[in-house]
Amino acid sequence: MPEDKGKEISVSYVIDADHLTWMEDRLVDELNTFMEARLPTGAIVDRSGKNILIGFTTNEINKRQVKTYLKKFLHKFELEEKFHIIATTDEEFKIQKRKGIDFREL
Amino acid sequence: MATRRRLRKEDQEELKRRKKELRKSYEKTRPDSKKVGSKRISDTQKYLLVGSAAIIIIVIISIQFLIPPVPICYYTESDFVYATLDQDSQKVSFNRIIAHYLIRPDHTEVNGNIYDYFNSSYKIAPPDQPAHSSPPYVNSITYTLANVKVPLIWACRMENGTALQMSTWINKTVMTLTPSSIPKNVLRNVNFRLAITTQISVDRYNISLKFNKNLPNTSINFVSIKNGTSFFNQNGTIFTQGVNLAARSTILLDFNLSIITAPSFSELNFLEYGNFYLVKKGELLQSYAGASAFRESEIFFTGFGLSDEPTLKKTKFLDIVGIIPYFNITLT
Repeated sequence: MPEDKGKEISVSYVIDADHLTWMEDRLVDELNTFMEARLPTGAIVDRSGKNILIGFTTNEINKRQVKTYLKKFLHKFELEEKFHIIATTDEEFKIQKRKGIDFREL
Repeated sequence: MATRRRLRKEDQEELKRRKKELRKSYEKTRPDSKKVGSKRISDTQKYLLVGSAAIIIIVIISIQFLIPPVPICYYTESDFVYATLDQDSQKVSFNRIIAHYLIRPDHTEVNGNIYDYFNSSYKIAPPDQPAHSSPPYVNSITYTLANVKVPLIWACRMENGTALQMSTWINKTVMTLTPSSIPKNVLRNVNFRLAITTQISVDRYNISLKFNKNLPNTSINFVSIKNGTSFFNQNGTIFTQGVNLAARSTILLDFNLSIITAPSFSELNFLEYGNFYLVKKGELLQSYAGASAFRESEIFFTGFGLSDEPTLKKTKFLDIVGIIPYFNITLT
């Protein structure tokens, strides 16, 4: 990391985890930890409200890889039947409640 | 080991700094990001807000209704310049009445009505400012004074018997003469009565009447007064005063006149002038605003015979120092 000190960091991806908070706010922290553990060295992950911010100093990964990690997160926490991942913009994902699932069933 | 631990610690600090930088970068690009979890107004604050708004509305409404309206037009004084007695019909008619109005400047338009009691014509002298237009001979005239910018003294001068809308604290003034027929060259004792009825209760009143001193072959004696005390002076002026007069009380002044008239006289004006002043709470009612704020009254000075009365009804305007009209006797 010392070699990255001078480099300015910017947000590469934003994950909107609003729907996760409907179930449990703790899940956003879990997602933060999960992504920190999975992403390669040089990635910075931080929570901002209901969003998870991801930036890279080195080894930036592509969008598909980020989505894969998010799916893995849902699988790990057995949330696949209730949520799915959608890309809302080029740099943003949203963890969306599946249609047909009432939020009271979350 | 110590070096490695120090390195880890440095790495953690660096990570924190990076995260902070990341968040700042995100907030820069998304100005609405701070709205996440933004502060909401609490129920207590909501109730306070609604309550204070309601109180403000109530206060505004109260001010509208509780504060008395400011009169826009003050009647200030009137003069009965000339009056004659018709002995046959036993009626006194006023040949001229002058009424003065003070119109406040803070109203752009003022209306006033003047009614002709006898359905007879009369002239209205235009006010100093060319602010009105009205036909001169009608039974009812409406004055419209537009864009009054300064206090305006408005004088109406009416010829012949008329009724004039104005205001007063005096409810009624009655003058009677008994007997009403006075033959010439015969010494007669005539009783003259002046009755003044007040509209409201007063703490003190003061009346002065000046009789015409130079009338030939005429002497006037004061006989009685129902209320208060009085005295006559050398100049033929009577002063009377009293205290604590209830509303609608009548002050009676009786005089006895011994008259021998010369044949050349056909008319005798024995009362030169008279004034009455009413005092309430230490203030002359002319400027007693406290009682007058809501007082609305209407006076009709009607032509009246010796047995008739000038009836002064309640009106819209207020404040008066009553001026008792001249009282003429036409001799037979």
